[in-house]
Amino acid sequence: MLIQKKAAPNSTITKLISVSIAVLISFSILFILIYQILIPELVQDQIESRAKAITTFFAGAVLEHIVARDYLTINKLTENITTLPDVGYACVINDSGNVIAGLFSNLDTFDTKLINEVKENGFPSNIASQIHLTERNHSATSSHQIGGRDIINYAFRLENANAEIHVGILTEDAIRTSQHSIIPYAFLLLITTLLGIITFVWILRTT
Amino acid sequence: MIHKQFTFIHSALLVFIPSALTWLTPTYAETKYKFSVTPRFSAQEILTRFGPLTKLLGEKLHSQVEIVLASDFDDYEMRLKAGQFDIAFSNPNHYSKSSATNEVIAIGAKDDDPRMRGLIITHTDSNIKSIQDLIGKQVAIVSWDSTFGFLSQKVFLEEQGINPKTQFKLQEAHDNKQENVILSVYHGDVAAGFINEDALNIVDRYVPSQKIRVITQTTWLPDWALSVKRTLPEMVKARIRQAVLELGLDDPVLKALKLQMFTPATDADYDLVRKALEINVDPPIAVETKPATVTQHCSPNSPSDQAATTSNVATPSVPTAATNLSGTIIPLPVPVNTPLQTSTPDVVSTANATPEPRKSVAKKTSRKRKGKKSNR
Repeated sequence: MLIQKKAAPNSTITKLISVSIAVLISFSILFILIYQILIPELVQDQIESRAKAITTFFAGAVLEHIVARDYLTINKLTENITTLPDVGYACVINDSGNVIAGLFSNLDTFDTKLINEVKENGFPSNIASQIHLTERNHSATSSHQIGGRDIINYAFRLENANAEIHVGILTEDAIRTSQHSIIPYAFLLLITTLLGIITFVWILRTT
Repeated sequence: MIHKQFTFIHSALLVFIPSALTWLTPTYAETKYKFSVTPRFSAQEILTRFGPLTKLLGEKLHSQVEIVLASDFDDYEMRLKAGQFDIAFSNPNHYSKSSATNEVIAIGAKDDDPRMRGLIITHTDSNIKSIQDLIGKQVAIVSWDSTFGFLSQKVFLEEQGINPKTQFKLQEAHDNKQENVILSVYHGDVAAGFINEDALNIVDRYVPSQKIRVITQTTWLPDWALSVKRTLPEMVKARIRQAVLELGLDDPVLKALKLQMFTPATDADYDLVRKALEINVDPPIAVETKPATVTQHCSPNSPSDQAATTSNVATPSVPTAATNLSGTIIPLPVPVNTPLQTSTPDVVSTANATPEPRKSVAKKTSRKRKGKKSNR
């Protein structure tokens, strides 16, 4: 006696596929939202930690040269700091607000207005004014735009040298990189879901 | 009898042949000349820059010329004064202080002029307009011994009736760097600074060049001196002089040295430097008639060469001439292959000489050079 397999009704399959797609879209939206909100914050924390580490190292290296007024060495050290990845600028500013040393890593990537200002007057001292350090508050972080680019500025006060140092880390690249990392995961989710749907449909049709 | 004659001839040959071979075989391997340089560069850079020159001089002298490194400026100056270097390439300051034991034979020129000068600079926004405005003000200098970072300016100011040591508040730059003079001026630590003309654009990557203003250019002084120990035989001096003066513009030796050429020079060219250094120059030691440290200075290519080596009175048999910075006509060296006279030669006649006229100081007024580092 021939046992006839009973195929699942088409309406059931359609419903299942619809539910699967809805789940897929929901997961995708959730996934993207998590990436857009949580990941940048995490990246920002990491950038701040990096800025702090670089600034602390820079402060240790430059302190005695500021006291000795060895401007050449201060500038060379500042130049070295700007070669580190994602560092937008580094500067040393004395209590009078004069820039002892200030360099951008790649000035050409900033807007024309800033480029012209730097070429004419040197490093802009108003960068320091964005953070107000006090005797109690030896360090601080701020996020702002300089020359059209998003930057996290970490400032550190050198009490004995009557100066403060600022290191600006470019955030756009790091955040963009982290956001781009969503793409392979999204593909993986999509492929997994599609395979799941196909498997589900195949099982339904063969039972 | 025949046997005795044979024995005599045999013995004579045994004595004669080795003697003849010794006489004919070049013996330059025994001779070593010591070459040194003002230790402004790292040891590696000195070897890279001056290696080709010492090799060339070794070939010309058929001797070994070895580079001797001094540990620092003081060590170099002391050893140069003591005559411990046969050949030296010194900054004007070191040469001027040691000219009692050393004799300049050529000046290393970075361009077509074997002289350099200093600058007095200030901040563009400063109200200093002339050197008179600097009286009583803080002024940064490279160092008290710096030829173009103090001495050139000192000579110039003294000509203008200003004594910078008493009328300015002079302070040496940190680490005696030209860069620190410019940066001190830029940051307003000092009213003005004394720097080498070559160094004007040396910190352009740190500060905008338009923020530094030149108040005045100062006195021209001769550049670095290639000198030889006075006690070396004239023939050796002549060969060294000729070797460097013959170098063409594209010669790899000059390229390694980062120079354009060597030009003839005399001790008098450095009189201004000595005056600026306020040193009482001892009269030069007379040329000795026998070498002090070198037993044989070149291979006896010819009997006259050897005679010249031992007699130390050789001079060019075909003299030509050129003028030094002061315009004095000095003899050019004898060609290497020219047999050297063993007797005292005739005095070089200026009438027979064909001196090449040099540019006068007045002609050199405003030239701007860019980006050459110098702490002299």
